[in-house]
Amino acid sequence: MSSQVIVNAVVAASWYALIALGFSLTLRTNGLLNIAHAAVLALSGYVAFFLKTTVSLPLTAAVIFAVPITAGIGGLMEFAIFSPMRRRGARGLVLLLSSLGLYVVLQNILSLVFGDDLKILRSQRVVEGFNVAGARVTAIDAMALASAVALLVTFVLFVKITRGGRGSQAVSSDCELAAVSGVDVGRVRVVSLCIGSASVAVAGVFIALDTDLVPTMGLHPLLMGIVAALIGGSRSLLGPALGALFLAVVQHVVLWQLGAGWHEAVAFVVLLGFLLLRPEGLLGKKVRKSTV
Amino acid sequence: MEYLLHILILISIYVILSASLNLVAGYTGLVSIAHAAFYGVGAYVAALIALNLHSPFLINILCAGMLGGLLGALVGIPSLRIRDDYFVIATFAFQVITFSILNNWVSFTGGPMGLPGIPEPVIFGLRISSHVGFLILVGFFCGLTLWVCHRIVRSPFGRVLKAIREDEVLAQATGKNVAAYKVLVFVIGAGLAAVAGVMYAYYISFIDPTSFTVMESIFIISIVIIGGAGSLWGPVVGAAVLVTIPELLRFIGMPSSVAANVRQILYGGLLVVFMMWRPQGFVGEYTFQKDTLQG
Repeated sequence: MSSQVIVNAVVAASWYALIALGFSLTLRTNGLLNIAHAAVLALSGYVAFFLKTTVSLPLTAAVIFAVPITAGIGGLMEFAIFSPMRRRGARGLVLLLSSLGLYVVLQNILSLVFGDDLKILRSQRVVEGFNVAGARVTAIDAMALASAVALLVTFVLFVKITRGGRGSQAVSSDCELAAVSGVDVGRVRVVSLCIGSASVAVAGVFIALDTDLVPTMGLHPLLMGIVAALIGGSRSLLGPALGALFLAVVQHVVLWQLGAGWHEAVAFVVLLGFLLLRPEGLLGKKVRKSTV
Repeated sequence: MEYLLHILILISIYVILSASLNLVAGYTGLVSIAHAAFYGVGAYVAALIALNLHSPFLINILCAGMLGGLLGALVGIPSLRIRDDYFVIATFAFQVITFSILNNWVSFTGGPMGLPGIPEPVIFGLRISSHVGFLILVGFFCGLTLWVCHRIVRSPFGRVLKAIREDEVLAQATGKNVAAYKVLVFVIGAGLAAVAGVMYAYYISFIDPTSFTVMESIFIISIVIIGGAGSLWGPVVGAAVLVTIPELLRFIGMPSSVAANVRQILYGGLLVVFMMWRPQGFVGEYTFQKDTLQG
């Protein structure tokens, strides 16, 4: 196999994994399939763009500041919208439908403020990248991969070691039991949507650097992240990353053999295949919680 | 006058779309965000066979409806094995992919350039070209859709659908083949959405992929929710409200470039507001809550 195919697949896998991580964390802890992550992804790119052009920060600073700002907005969503809804007894579908509404609102605010035309975030010309075993790797690719790995490690450490991380595990496995054991469920959920949004925001910044900005740019990457999370097993910690790698490799091998244009169809077939044959995902456990 | 007729035609098309989605989402509890995909497939099938084969209108509408239904079965059979919210994700994926196929398969669908010059429909030798003619045509199919929905929900079949919505396990325990019912209602919904697509293609006489995006799907589910899920008149109320309100923006002098975004912000915001305070919509009865059942 050509080494370029492997390199491309690994790079794609790194941002699939970031999105899948954010999506599955929100799903586990907040009990929410958050479509609004697509708007969060675009938002981080636009915040970086705004900081760079209007506030005239250097590109690196703009990118670094964009992530916490977007994460804060993600936390605000939980605080201002999802948490009041949960207090009214809203569960899965209702929250999912409101996240659809939120996506529509946020995406259109981006269109209103920045316009629908293509915006360019990167400042220098497109460079050729360096040669690794006969394949081209750009600096952005390398950084995306490095930050995906770094975030993944940080994330696992956070969940395993810190009190907040164990709280989030407790909330995701049984939120009532967590509450009576003294975990502040509301706070854990706000923090978890912040971290989930931060992970998606990092992916958003890299996608913005790589392929430029349009307000609808979040949908396609989010879909890939969701597919990766579901085939990897959204209930497990490392499943989404494994799912991302699997999806990216399958996609790029098919792309290499059949040509472009089949990218999304492959993702859909893989998703349906998993939903039919192994709905709990690669690393998922076959336990089904029942709260009748 | 032309303008008023245009609004009425649009409302009728959206009533077909939302009433058919209401069967799936409101009565059976299966929220789908792929409705614009079936709508688009209907429009493209009718446009392609009308342009390439010059076949008559009634044949086209039959073909489009059947193909839409067939596609509904293809998506529905695997996706319906999974839980509600994952079902939404599967339909979301189907929606995004259908759009990208319509947009990228340039040699077949015309890609972003779309398909122009769809001929005027001829029914029994009668050529329909005026707004009044289209309103009668679309109004007829709109009435037909509502009648079909009415018959379905009043029948034993409809009662099983509601039972599935309220308690799937119980429905299964009483010996109903839940999966078959779900697939069948999903196929009916998809077929009717395709019929709405045919209406749209003939009426506008030009189609491109931007009419069949995820946004459009969210718009249709918003109509169902805001009008009232699980009620026969909910979609009518919802379509009338959600199609008319943005037109009012035009009268307060908002430039059209801004109005398109404000319109979407409006219905996205309404969707959140209704989910928070009135999930059953204006006249509906289903609130998308399944307290007793979380598998």
